[in-house]
Amino acid sequence: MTVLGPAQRSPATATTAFLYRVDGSASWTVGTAHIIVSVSGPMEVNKRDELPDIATLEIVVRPDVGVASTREQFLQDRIRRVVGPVIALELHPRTLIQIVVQIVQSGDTKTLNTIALSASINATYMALLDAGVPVRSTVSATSIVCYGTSSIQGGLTTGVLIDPTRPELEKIEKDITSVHTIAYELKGGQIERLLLSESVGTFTEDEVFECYDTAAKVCEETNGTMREAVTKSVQQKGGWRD
Amino acid sequence: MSSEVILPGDPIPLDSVIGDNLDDSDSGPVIQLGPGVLHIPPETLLPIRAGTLTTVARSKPQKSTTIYVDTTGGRYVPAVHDTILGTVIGRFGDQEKSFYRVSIPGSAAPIGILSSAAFANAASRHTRPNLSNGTTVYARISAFSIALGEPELECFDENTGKEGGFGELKGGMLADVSNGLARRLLAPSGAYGGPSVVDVLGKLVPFEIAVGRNGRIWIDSESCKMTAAIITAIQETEELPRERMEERVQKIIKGARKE
Repeated sequence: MTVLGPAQRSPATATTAFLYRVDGSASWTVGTAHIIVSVSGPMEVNKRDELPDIATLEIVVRPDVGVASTREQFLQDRIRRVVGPVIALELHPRTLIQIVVQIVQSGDTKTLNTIALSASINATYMALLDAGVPVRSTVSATSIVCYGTSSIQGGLTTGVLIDPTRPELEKIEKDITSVHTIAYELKGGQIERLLLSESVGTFTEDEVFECYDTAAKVCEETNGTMREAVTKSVQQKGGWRD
Repeated sequence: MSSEVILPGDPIPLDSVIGDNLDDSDSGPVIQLGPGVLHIPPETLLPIRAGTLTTVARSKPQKSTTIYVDTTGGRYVPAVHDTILGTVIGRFGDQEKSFYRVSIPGSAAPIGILSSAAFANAASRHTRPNLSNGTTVYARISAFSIALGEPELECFDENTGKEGGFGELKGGMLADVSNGLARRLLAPSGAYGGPSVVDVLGKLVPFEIAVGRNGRIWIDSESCKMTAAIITAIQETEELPRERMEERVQKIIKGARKE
């Protein structure tokens, strides 16, 4: 049963290792969203934040305009919930792993907070890989926006946008019924478990499960994009082997 | 030695990795794990870094296979027996027993402790070196555990007890390289099947080099200009295949001679 209408999707691109004064960096572009992430660590930790058995994970989100507010705090919390369980923190006790997420373009409209989150999660994961921080599996996230437009003729058109651009969002903003940010853990390119499901709006049980299925497919695709970017970076750094 | 790009969580194809490198006995294969691979008992091997999955087949003392994920970047995490390049930043203790505080740039544990008795010929207080702040030292990590904090350093060859190139480095110039390049520069000549950048440089110009596993190198040669050229040659050719590396090194050194 198809509850939701046809899905559209903007492609994503990733680049890594372009910042020189940190241990790892990545940039993630999807639609109109652009996020840059730097990762430093494991390094010396402030005595006050030191944990005796695991590494301290510090996540800082910097907004595209203005100073950090509750929105950034929200993003920090969600990013931590997704990447925290995947990083093998116990391998570097009493150290600090610092993640700085710089939103260059959030890609969200004023009322939404989903594209920046999913793009930040993807960018953060890529930067962690580049920094060589030990992680147990791969992570991908996606945003799904459901909308319903009632036409003058009385018919109802419903649709789904996956990782939409800002103009696309603005066009349907009034008709958005629900927004879902979904992150999966993957192993060897296969979905392993759900890490984040952040839904806002009105939706039925069937709809949200369909969103999970759609997100699973998109995350597998996104994972492929990540694998390509990592392979490219590893092969470039290993050019001396030829 | 075989290699392929692997991501965290990917399955390690054990059968193809081990191949026929098995002892005749009925016991299972012997596998040694290097960095980047986590063993989850009983028999799961989990890659935890993105990089080149590298396997090395060994036949002595028994047939075994070493598996690790090779990466270039990342922060240096100290390990015992590693050689590092650091800078003296302080001294504490009394006349009888004093210690140097040594900054180890680019390391997960940024400050090491070097005893003034941990030098060759340091049996007597009068023969111990007197290092001032800012001195560059080439040292070896003699004790370290990430749970205990500061690495302990020594400045003598652990096999002979002699100086062996360790200790204060006078003159020369320090430069940053990647973690992976530092490891490669320390590998024995021909370990990667051909001349390394140091071998190529050594045929062109006489120079001294000290490589710290913390991603630092120290170079000294006939002139400052040549030292700078050698550093450029090492840094610029990191990712180049051997032939292009040789060409580039020759061009840089020739250029430095001409000026």
